[in-house]
Amino acid sequence: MNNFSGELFDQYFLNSIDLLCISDMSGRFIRLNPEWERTLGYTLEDVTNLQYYELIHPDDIEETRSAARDLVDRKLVKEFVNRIRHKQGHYLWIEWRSFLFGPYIYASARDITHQIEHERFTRETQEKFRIAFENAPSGMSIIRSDGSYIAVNPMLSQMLGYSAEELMQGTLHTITYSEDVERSNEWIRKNIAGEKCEPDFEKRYVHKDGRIVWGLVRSQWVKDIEGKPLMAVTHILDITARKEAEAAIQNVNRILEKKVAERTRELDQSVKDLQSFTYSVSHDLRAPIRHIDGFMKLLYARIVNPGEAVNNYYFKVKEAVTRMSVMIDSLLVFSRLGRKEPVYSRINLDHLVREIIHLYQHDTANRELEWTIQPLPDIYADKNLMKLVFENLISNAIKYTSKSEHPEITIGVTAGEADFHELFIRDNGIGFNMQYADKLFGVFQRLHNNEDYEGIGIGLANVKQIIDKHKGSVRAEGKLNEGAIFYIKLPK
Amino acid sequence: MKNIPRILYAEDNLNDIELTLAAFEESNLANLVDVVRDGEEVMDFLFYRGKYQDRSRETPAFILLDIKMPKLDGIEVLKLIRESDEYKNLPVVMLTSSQMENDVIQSYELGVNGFVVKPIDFSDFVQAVKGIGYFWAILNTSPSKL
Repeated sequence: MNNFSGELFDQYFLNSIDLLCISDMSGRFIRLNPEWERTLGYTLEDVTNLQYYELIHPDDIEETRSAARDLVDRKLVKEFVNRIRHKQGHYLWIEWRSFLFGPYIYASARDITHQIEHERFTRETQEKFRIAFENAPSGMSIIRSDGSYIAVNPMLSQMLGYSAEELMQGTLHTITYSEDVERSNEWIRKNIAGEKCEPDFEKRYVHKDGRIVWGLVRSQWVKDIEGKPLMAVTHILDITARKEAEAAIQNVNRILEKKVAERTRELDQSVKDLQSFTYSVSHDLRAPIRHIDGFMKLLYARIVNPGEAVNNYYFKVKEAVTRMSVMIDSLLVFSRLGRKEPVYSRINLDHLVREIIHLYQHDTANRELEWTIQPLPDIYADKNLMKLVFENLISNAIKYTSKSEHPEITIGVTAGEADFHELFIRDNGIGFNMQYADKLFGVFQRLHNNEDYEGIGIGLANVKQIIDKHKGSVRAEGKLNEGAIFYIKLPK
Repeated sequence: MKNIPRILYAEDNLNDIELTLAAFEESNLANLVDVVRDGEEVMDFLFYRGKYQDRSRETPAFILLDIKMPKLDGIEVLKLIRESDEYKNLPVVMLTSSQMENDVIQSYELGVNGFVVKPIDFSDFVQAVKGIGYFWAILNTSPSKL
């Protein structure tokens, strides 16, 4: 026993951080240090009647025996690891260093269970990541901040037609579509800097066969303790099909828009044609009507003592010519208005309306006309054209209330809509039958005869044309012998 | 005594010629009116060409130009007149059926002296012709009279 004791030896033996034991060649323990009890729970008494092999995990016995043979051959075994049963039944991973001296085995051992478990955990984690990476249904890559690859997955190879080796030889920029390189770099820069940028980035890659592959990219940077970017784990979803569908839809939309524009142009053109037709017809009609008037008057001047009948006919022709000339000139004005684009400015409508009413003061002086003018909004429109609109509507209201007993005219504004003012002019005059409402705004359309109410029927056509030009709308409600109300809707 | 200057009147429509001459007559203007039927004739008249090569060498008081005329129209004639050395200062008055905005603008850009739309009412027309004749042939002083 003296071989295994002595004060100095005991101090080492008792205070060692490692498990120390001495056994004979059969595996019977002769001495254990206290670390054994702390680590594996055994005292020398516990194991006195045990053989070393009884403590070993059954799966490790074979290897341990082989290590023991090595020990006999080489006198020393290092870095041998097996599992030893704790007194409580569970196993710990123990690393051994043993040497043979005389008939005894001197062994130091260390519990490396934590290390083994950590390694296993790391290995498992790596394996899990590898499986996820390799089998991901989207392209995946791990890149450095310079765009070079640490790893690419099979799906990325499949997406882009390059083998993993080919991809790894190049960089991110090799496979990025040239027009998207700058944008892509900027996105990476922002990502690294932690600046705000879209989490999902759409960019184009170039397939090995030259075609464009659209990718939806999401990236997460891994940084070191100092914040330096180490690598980014990147997912790339192939959205080429979606992009192509979008492009197809856009293309269809473009074609549609083009068609609409074409049709609009055609419509504009036919409106223009119609306008110039109206214009040139009324222009050309002016000459013959002028000639009729001229020669008729010259003829009349040559008639000595014209009788009552001649005078009557002369008067009728003259009237007809006058009416026709008014119509022609109104048509000219109408078509001129049609070609005039509004010049917009802010208009104080209150002011404008009162100005116009003042204009007609003379006509209404001896009538008991009751005006109600509600506060009116400022509008944004062409002042001259709006003046024409309100002149028409106000003079109509005055005209068609001329036979009312208590004529009333109200000018006001309805609640309207968010983007529109709706103004109205209401009178209690002759009104009209709603059945003919659509005829009100036509050129030379009249609902009353000339004898009762003078006019040629162009005023409301001008009103409609002007309001249409302002992208507004006009409508009328009425009841025969009760009155009419005209609504004008104008964009705010 | 100096001759009363003549008026050159270009108009293709016979009815208009007749009515305008009647209007001149009614307005008692002493000036004689030379009538030409298209733009080319205006230029022949002014530059003593073709059937006008033998006419007496005198410059009209002013020219009354219709716009719609065969061959050269009124605007083209106005342009040629303004480009010529001889007549660049000669008063020219447009007398037309209706006021096409473009015609008015173009005429003024080319240096027209007046633009009159023929009134439909004959009495108004006589007044208009009278006014034009009185102003341009009598009241107005133009370089050609100096």
